[in-house]
Amino acid sequence: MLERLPLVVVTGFLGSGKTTLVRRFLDGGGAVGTGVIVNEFGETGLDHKLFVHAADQVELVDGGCLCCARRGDVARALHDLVGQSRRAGGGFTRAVIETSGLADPAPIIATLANNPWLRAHVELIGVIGVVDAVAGLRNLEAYDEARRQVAIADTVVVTKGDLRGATPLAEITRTVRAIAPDAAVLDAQDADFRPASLMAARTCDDPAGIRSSFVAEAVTHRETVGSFVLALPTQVDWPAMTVWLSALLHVHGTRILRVKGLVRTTAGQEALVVHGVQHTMHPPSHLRLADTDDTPSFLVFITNGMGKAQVECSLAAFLALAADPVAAGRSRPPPSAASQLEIGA
Amino acid sequence: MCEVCAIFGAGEHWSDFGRLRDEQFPFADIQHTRAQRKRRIALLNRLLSTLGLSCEEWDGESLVILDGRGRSNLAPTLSDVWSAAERLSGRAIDPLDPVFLEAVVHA
Repeated sequence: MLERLPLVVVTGFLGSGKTTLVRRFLDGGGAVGTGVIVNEFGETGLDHKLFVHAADQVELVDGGCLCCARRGDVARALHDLVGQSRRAGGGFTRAVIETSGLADPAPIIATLANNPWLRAHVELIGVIGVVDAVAGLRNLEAYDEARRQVAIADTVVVTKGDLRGATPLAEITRTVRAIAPDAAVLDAQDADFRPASLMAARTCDDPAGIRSSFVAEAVTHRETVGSFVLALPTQVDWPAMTVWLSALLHVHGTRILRVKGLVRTTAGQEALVVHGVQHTMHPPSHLRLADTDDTPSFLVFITNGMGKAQVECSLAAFLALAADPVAAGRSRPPPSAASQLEIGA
Repeated sequence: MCEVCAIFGAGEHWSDFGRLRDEQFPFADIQHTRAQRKRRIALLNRLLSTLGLSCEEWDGESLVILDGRGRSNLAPTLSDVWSAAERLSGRAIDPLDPVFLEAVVHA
């Protein structure tokens, strides 16, 4: 089976420095073998041969909300890139999507998860959020899109720290961590900052990044968006957890901006890294135990107006149900038509 | 299920990846997968019974949701169970609803 094309999504608010970051990566030697998709016409500062433009168009699935929209344009562009990557000689070995500054990147992630062909040919290795040190905090305060972009990022790069009026990195880090407690925060002005290592490494399930989630359990300056960490049992019943999480995301997916965690389960020896964006969960990654020594199981939730207590209570109830041998062992027959008629009457 | 060899698959939904599959022999641990699936269906039945519904295996990878009138809806993955249940019962399962949690404990 062919290797899947590694994909990095670069997102961030208007003017945050996404294009500059991608340029730095390409200029630093990353141009070889990298295909770039810009989700916005007009940003054509890069070598045009590397570009597959994607018009800003959203296709809605039946009955779906915006976060479940499939971005057909991005899917087509990725299809083209994969096609080129398969050609001998001039193929791509990685892809970068730069989202538009006002885009909620969740539909792009959903496209990758919902399209069977893309699932088989493209591997999302990381989401990079870009926040600029001058206007970034203001944008996070004022715009839902900016908060959503940070919320789903694995790594947040702070740009423009060298400009007059820049907010100190520590303050930006605090704000970013309040929205995305599991995100690694990097300073683009740091002498050691290397865009190449950022774009080439898998950050979605980096255990080090996940451990950092414990540093914060916070409510942001906007009271509606907050995050919390659920501590899980040593071994989580996998059927119970998947049924619970699936039901939760179905009803409350629009309010769960992100869920991510490290879970030891009854299903196998490896610890699982689970992560999802709104209604969409990705297949978990399996980690060797050596990679996750002493890290307890947990889930991080970034939500919009959802309290920790009710989520915790709900999970505990599902796990207790699964532990009930009567519930776990029996398979109920369908209710009889007679009983249904009685109920209906 | 594979139509050629009649071997149950393990599903491609995120919830079907609880155990790392051997790439060379992807279904070597099929017994484990079936056991986990049986437990999932038992739990689903307990939840769905609060809506007067039930759930059964369908081809080893999908599920079928049934109501008391004999109507059924296929759910290709675990994520599809909830909308299928809503279509049949006209009601939703909200895992955060304390009334639902109370009902399912006594179901």
